[in-house]
Amino acid sequence: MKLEELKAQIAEDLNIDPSLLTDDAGPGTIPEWDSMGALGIISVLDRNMKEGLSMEYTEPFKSFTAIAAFARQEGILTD
Amino acid sequence: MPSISRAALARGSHEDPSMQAVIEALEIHLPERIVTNRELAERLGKWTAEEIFRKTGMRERRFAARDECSSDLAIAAARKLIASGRLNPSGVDYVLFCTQSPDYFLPQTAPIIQDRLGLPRTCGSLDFNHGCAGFVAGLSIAKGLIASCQARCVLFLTGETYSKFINPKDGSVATLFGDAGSATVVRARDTNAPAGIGEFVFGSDGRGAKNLIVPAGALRKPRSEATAVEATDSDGNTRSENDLYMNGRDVFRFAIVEVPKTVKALLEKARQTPDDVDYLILHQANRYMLDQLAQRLPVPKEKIPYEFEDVGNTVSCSIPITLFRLQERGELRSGSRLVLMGFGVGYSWAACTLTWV
Repeated sequence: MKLEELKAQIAEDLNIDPSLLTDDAGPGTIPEWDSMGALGIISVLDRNMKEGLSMEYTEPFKSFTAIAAFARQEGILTD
Repeated sequence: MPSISRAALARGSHEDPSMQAVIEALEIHLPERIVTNRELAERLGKWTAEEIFRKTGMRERRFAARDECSSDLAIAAARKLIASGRLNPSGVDYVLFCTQSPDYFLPQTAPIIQDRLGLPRTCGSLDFNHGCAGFVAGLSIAKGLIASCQARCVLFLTGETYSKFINPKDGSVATLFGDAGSATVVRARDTNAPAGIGEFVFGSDGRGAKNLIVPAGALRKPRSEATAVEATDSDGNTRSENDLYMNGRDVFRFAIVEVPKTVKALLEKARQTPDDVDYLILHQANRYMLDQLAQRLPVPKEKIPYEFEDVGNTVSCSIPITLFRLQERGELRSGSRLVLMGFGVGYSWAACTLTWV
């Protein structure tokens, strides 16, 4: 999956325009990225992982950059 | 029909694999006080009533009165069974009570229930502290008591008053949870037909203990002036350590990881396919959780009932409430094949197959 595709899926889940998901975008800058929004982001990542998410602990995502880093680490992103 | 005699029961320890445990009757009870989204919206000042509904799928929930305990709610449910002739108190061999809000640290609540319901003094009794998986866990205990011929009629009660742990200024939990009680008669039935309470799959992961917890008030951290100090988190929710805390993100993650795997494992163990399942009854956490789980489960969404709009998340009472309402609406028939799955606090989870009789 390409970064823009992941961005589009997360933006759709948060019900925002994808252009708002800049690298620094996070819970502090996007009102829709609240506690419910955080669940949606987890759901999008889980859906795109072959084996689904694991139970290993991860810090809450504080920015879109952190989401992208996680997605690369888990093999979701190919670019 | 052959049956195990009281004398055989008294002998105790033999097992009878042909003895089935079936759910014979079920009742629920809700406290009177209704807490609406409008009331919460006015108090929290964070979301409108409609936004709360959109986020949770809940319009109202019931909160117990100040002097009303979980045992009162469970007993009220049991009294409905007695009043309608579906339960003869003198025939109960064992009473189980599942709650996370007991009357006292000690004594345990089940003997108090035995006395208040007029159950025999020869009746065994057991409390167990279990949350959202508690109803399925209790069915496993009841089935074990029956299969090992220790009991023929188990009265299994659940009762929860999470509202007493909730800080009214904490919207993350105040919008979700409601109080309730349930009473289920689990009885021995001598049959070789595949009926009643079937296979089980369980799970526990104590790494999640901190994610749904009342940190203070028991012996690890007794209540003190320090634990009563309130703080407001980054989402604007205010609570102290005496109050219920839920890390919704990690609990959600746990559920989407474990629930689909467990349902799959249960169906394999029971040698069933998704087509065999008439209803998959999940713990009624909230709408978002169930929507997300439904996308990941092998049965169609229309076979996954939602029963929380007017009661909220009632913890160990959510599955019996769902069963009761399906039955009331005539949607359960004799022979209906069900999968029940509870999951949550602990973390702990439990799933079972059940054929309705």
